[in-house]
Amino acid sequence: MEFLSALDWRQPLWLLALVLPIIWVGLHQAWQYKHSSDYAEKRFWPWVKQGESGWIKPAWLLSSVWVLLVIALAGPRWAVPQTQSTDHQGVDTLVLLDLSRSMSAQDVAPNRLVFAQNMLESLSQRIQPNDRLGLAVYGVQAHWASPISWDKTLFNRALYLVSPNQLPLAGSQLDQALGFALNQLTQPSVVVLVTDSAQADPDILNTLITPFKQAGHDLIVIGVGQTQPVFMPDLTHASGWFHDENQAVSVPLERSALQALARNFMGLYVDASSQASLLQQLVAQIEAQALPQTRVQTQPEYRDLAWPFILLSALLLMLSFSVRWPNRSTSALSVALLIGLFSQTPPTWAQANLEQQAYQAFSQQEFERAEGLYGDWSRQTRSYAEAYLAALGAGNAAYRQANYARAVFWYRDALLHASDDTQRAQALYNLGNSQAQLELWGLAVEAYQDVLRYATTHPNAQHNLMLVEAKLAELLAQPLEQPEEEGAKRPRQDLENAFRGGQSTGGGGDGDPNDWGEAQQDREGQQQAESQTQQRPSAQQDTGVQGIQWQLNAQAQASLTQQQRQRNVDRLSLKLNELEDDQRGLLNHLFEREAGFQARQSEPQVVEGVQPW
Amino acid sequence: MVKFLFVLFGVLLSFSLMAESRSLLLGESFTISLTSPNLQQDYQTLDLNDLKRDFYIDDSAQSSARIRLRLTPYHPGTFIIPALESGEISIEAQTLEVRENPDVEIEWSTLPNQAWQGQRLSQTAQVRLQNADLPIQMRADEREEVIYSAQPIQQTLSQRTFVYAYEAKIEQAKTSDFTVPQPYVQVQNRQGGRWLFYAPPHHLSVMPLPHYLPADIAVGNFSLKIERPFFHQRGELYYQTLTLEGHKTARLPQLEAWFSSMNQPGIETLHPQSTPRSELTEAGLVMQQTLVQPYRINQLNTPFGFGHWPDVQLNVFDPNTGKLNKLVIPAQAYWVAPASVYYLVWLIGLVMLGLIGWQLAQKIRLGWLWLKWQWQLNQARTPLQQWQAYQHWAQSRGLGYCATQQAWLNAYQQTFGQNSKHQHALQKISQALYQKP
Repeated sequence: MEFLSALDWRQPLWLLALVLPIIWVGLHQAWQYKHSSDYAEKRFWPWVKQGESGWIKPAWLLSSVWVLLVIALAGPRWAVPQTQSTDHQGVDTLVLLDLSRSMSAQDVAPNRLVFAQNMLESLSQRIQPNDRLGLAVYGVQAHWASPISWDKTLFNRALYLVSPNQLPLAGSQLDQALGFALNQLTQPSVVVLVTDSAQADPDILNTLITPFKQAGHDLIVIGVGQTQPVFMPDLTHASGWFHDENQAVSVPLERSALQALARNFMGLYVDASSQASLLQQLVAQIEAQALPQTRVQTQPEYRDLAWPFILLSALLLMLSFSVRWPNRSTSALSVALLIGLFSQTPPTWAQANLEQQAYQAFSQQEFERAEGLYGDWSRQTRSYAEAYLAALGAGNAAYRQANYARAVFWYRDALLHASDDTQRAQALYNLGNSQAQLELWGLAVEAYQDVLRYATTHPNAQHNLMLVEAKLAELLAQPLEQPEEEGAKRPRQDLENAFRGGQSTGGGGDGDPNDWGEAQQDREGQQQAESQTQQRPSAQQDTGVQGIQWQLNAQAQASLTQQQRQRNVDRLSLKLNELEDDQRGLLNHLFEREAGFQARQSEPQVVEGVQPW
Repeated sequence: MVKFLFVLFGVLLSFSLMAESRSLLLGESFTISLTSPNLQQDYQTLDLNDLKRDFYIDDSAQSSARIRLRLTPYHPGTFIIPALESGEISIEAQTLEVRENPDVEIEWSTLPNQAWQGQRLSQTAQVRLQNADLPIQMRADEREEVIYSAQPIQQTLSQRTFVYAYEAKIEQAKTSDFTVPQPYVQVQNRQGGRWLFYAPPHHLSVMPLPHYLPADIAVGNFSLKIERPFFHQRGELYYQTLTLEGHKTARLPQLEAWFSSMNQPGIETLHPQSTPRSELTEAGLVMQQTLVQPYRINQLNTPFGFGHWPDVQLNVFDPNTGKLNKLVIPAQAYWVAPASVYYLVWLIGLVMLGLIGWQLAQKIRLGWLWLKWQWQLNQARTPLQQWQAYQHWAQSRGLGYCATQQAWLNAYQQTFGQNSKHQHALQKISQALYQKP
């Protein structure tokens, strides 16, 4: 019973198909009854059925295979309760990050603060999900930048909003930072102090040691930089280095003082480094603070039970093949079931070598399928050369379906993935042909003209250009009201928008529609001519002229709308990139208000008795 | 009732309808005041196009009763201002002579007549001054598409160079022909007044980008450079630095493709640092962006081995050729190994270095001993001293103590082979030491 209660189905609706064999058996029985009744009276039936023997009957066997496959499709699975025990509670970690000017020193690349930021971001990605992380920045005062939270993204966002010398008061005071941590933390936590300087009021610092230990906090001091003094960059000074009282100021990492601080607080001192081993050490140190806890979470883990059914159905099918059945219909059913069975194979088998499949589909003139496969290939590939070929193939398949709007989309995609002028000319030529088929003469003129920009001697493009220019000239010569009156024509505004100012509409060409749309040579995949002259008459044969015109108009409108929408998306994306939300400025102002400044400060204020770096 | 006020050098001549011949220096302006009962209506229909060919017209000083036109000539010469009339206002015909300014000579570079949408054009102004102390600066409309150098980007004692850059834009539902906003150079003269030198008016035909290109494609000439390490320690922090530079452009291409190329399984990408910079140079506005991408390679499929960064291609539009172009960040292989392998290699390297150093020290010592031996031989006055030098050297080289010259020769030949020079020398020493006096 427990097993049954744990049984679950991935897609239980498939189980409805189980009734099909029962229906089939019922119908078969009824048919046999009728057949027997027609053949002989009921009392002679025992003599008539004497020849039938054996317990293995094809119908039973195939019905069993059907039942097994349907069960496999429904996805039987067994929900096994999986207990996940966590051996410790989450740890609260508060990072105290020094933002004094000395953190701009470039003795570690790119500078001390960015180096520390990168290290802390990596740390945030390595600590346990149930650990909480907060960020406070400090100079002469400490400020919250990100509250203690499980949300590591929030922490990282705040982490990169801060920069050296950002706080309203210049300098750094360790005692203020540790005092802030002591006041704000309400439960035993790990305090990670990231700094290069040990500037502090020793008396205040000493008074913090005992309460810090009593509160159960653990201190990790990370020293950033090198012990050799280095100058701090300052673009406002002519020399490029920060000066105080006309002297360039150099700042070393005060390692020994920071090590002493860590010892006093019974903490750990480490040098910041780019090594992965440092991160492991920090994570281990943070996790060591965690209180033991046995928390057992039970979550169901599903075990797939479909494969025994598939295996059994395969065996039964093999058996059905090995037995010589009296009629052929059962063999055909066996084959159908076998196909059904192997359609259960992993999707990767089916998707192997999309390019080959797409090519085969194209060769067999299954253009819709070919377009889909080329599209899949285009989305999956990471190679630009393949993306070009895939887009061109998809465009050709769409073109063969007379779906020129989609062909425009694919050829445009091919153009953007083309790696040289020859490929660009090919994609543009096909694009021009599609637009000409849509009777977007202005766009086609532009496309053909640009083909000649990339391949100056493209003979087909020159020829087609003449024809579409003639068409365009013809259309522009018509009165403005005429297209609207006719209804079937598109508004001329589309053409005018598409047509670049200052260009000649040209002329020439004999206007014979069969002349334009020359063979498109050497397209990828098919390597065969793409003759537009073959497409148009055949389409005209299938449907009436009005129907084709209406279809083309709809496609042309869809193509224009799609292009316009894409351009709007591109423009919006640009605008979004240009938006400045100035979160850094907001944070600055918050710090200023916390420091007692009502107005914006152009530069940090110097506090008497505190080194301003 | 029509009232005209013609002002030369700021002197207002009220109720004047007279035509006069006036003279002014290039850089100086003169003012025409227009009053009329239907002033705005009449002014709207007043055709100033003839005047605009030779003068920059500033009509910003307007009130309900009067419009003051300030006309500044573009170049020296004699100008005949034709009679102009509109409604109840009219301007009398007059002749104006504009003389060369002896203190200031200005040369504006030419702008092209056509530009692509999104392209940035630049114009330089070379100003030569007779008096280098005259305060000078460039001014232009404060518009989004205009960037200019208020102060000279280059200067010598007598010459100043200014740059003005303008982005060719196409606003929707507007014509593609524009008049480029005109910058001007303002020179403070000795009298406390100011001379204004406007760039000549320029009409620009802005061509829209081909319809098949994305709207966010960058237009201009670009170059890029990428620096990335080859050797990687697994899990260690590294930086890739991409520097993108653009000329004749309003903006640099988007780099999403590069960022997404970094998103590979096992690679931890951290927050990138972006440093944009733009600088006005004589060639125009140069835009630069430096992107530093920190990352860690945490795992490959194998403990160590090769990985590779895929190539990244950025589409840009080249305004010189009018063609689509590609900026390519080439694919590159990298090597990853655990830190222990690196430490081992370092250790082996250190040992090798130690061995080489020891060998080198040995060679130096031998060379020093040989030099010392030769010096002792040269300094020796007697055969005994020469023999002592030979013995010294042999002991230093580890040949041991040799009681006789033959023993020395035997020891030497065993180690270094035959040497006729030493054999001959020792023979002579032996003869000298043991010959009868």
